[in-house]
Amino acid sequence: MEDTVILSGNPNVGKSTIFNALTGLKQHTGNWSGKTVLTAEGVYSYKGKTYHITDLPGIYSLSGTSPDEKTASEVIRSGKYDCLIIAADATNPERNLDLVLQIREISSRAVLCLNLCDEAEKRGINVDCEMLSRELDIPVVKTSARSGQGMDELKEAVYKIINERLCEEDQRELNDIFGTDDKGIKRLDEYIELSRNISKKCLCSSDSQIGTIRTDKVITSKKYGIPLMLVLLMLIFFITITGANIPSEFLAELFGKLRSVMNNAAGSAHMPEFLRGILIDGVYTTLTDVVSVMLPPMAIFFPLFALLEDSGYLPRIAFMADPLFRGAGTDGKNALTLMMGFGCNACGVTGCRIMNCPKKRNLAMITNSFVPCNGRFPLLIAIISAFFVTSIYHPFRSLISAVILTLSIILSIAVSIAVSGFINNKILKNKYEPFIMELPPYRRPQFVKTVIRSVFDKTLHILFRSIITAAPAGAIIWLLSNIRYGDMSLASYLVSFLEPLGKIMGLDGKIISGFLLGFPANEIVLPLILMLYGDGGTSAGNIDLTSLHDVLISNGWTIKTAVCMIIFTLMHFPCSTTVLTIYKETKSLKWTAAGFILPTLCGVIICSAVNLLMSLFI
Amino acid sequence: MKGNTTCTLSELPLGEEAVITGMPKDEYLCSKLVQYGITNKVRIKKVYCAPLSDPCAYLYRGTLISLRNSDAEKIIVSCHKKRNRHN
Repeated sequence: MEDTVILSGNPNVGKSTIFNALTGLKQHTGNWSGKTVLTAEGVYSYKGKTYHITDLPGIYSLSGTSPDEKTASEVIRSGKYDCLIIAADATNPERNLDLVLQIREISSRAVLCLNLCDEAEKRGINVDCEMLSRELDIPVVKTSARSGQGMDELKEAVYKIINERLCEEDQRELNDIFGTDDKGIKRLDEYIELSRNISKKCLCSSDSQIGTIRTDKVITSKKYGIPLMLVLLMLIFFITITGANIPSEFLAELFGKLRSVMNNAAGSAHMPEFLRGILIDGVYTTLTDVVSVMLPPMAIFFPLFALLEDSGYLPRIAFMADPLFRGAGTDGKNALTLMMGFGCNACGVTGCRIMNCPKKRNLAMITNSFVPCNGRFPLLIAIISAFFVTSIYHPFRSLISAVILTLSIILSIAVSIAVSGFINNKILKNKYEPFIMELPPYRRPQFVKTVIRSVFDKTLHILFRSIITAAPAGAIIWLLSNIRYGDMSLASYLVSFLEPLGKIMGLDGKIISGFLLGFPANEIVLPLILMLYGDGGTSAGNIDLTSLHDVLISNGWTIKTAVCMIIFTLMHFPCSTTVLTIYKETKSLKWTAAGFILPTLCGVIICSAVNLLMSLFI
Repeated sequence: MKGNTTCTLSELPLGEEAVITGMPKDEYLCSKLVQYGITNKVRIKKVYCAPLSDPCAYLYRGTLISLRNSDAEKIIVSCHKKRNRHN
């Protein structure tokens, strides 16, 4: 029989790191509150026994109200475990003790794991473990999970609790202890008093936050705070976009060569044309298009973002950006979910779990797809550089496209906030919600581990999800453009059906069809549109920017088309992966529908208005 | 102690430390704060503010926390009276 071990503790004390050190599993760790949003489970063995360990979301007390906090405290209160590891931050034990004392009152099958001891020592904080253990009447183990220090001692302590003190049954009447009524708060008061006294006895420290505060006084100052943030964000986008070009071209070329090899093989094997077409021109081409444009930027963006996350800078962004989001009924953390949305809207939607309040969370989820993800960036950049800057003298080109791109990004953020505010204030009429957020100490990021994990966790995960949607989409698109009814392909029917709507919006039927058929992944929208312009059964393949410009012009594009195209790229239904993710996160068809309809509606209205205005004046 | 004065937490001057003497009447906000370990008798210091002067960062019990001024003004604190130049 496996023994079950539960890992709990305050947010941001390194629970995930302890979990990884115990199990060898690769769960991504981040330096901020609320990283473990689902419970993670793993297994480790010690002295010939196997232990099943569950990592709970971080909580400050057992009376929390958000879904994650409830899950965690329910598990702790249930008593269905053999041992409980309470992780605490050795650099700030006093406040961590509130939770320890509360848990201690329910269960004595617990061990206190004082993590981040290396950090505490560096800052001159010393905890008297023996004294603390006597005060709390549970074993106390010092660890630094990052370097693996103290992990054997921790396993030993768990082993001892399970095997030597098994007979103790310890369940108190819990409702007495934690109501959310006045009484509950009073009890918490007492815990706070108690933890102060205990930490006075066991702790010798100086002010542990001096370094962090000193850093913050520069990083979040009036003078440098906002410029620094903008420069950092632009740097990340710049590295992502320019850095992705080279591997992207390499992959496209590689896949192109493979394609001709496959075509030759199919020819010599006398494969039926229909089968060859649907497999190679349909599935393979769409799939490789998606991989070659999507993989490189993600493999660069996510590690960079993870490094920022690890260092503790992200909560500072939320801190500085909070006033922007307040009127919209959300808070500074919304800035972070939007940033994640720049990487991938599905990730941004999942990331909304960091918002503790369900009302804010839903708002942030349905407005996330207003910001362009990595799949839409190449589309924006291609349109901007092909259309607005081909006629301009070379050195200014990239500067001007950068300016237009920045304007588009600012527009997308503004619309996202405005829509969220409109829904919050005019439709839902939500009450004001306070915003309290811990600012964790800065930590040096674990460079290699972070980079490797973010590639494996996020990048490959999303890549896999988009591959499973792109492959069938490729087949469908090929069928639509190759099955003929009368003398027109099915795709042409779709195009002519959408032509009037497209014209109202300053676009055309083929562009709208491209977006519709590109529902599985925004990466394939431009190849699809080009394919429809070519009216052939195959994707247009590698097209450089100058020839892109010519193709678009010859299909009747004007500056108006390009502007409307940029707007519609920013504001239309999110991709299938994102829609699915919204549903999974909200478990509500209503919110999912809102997440689908809102951006589409905005896109149609704004495009039509811009089209009308531009037709009047130009 | 002589010369103690009460004010709201949001009015507390930058760099000053005070003791919480009155928690918000708003039960919801109050319970949120308590979960973070902020209650009566806790010593709290305003350490820095965001570029737009709101929210501000406070240090209490070794932890840094961000509070909006509109939430902080519902918390009453008692601090030493110092140079009261303005009035």
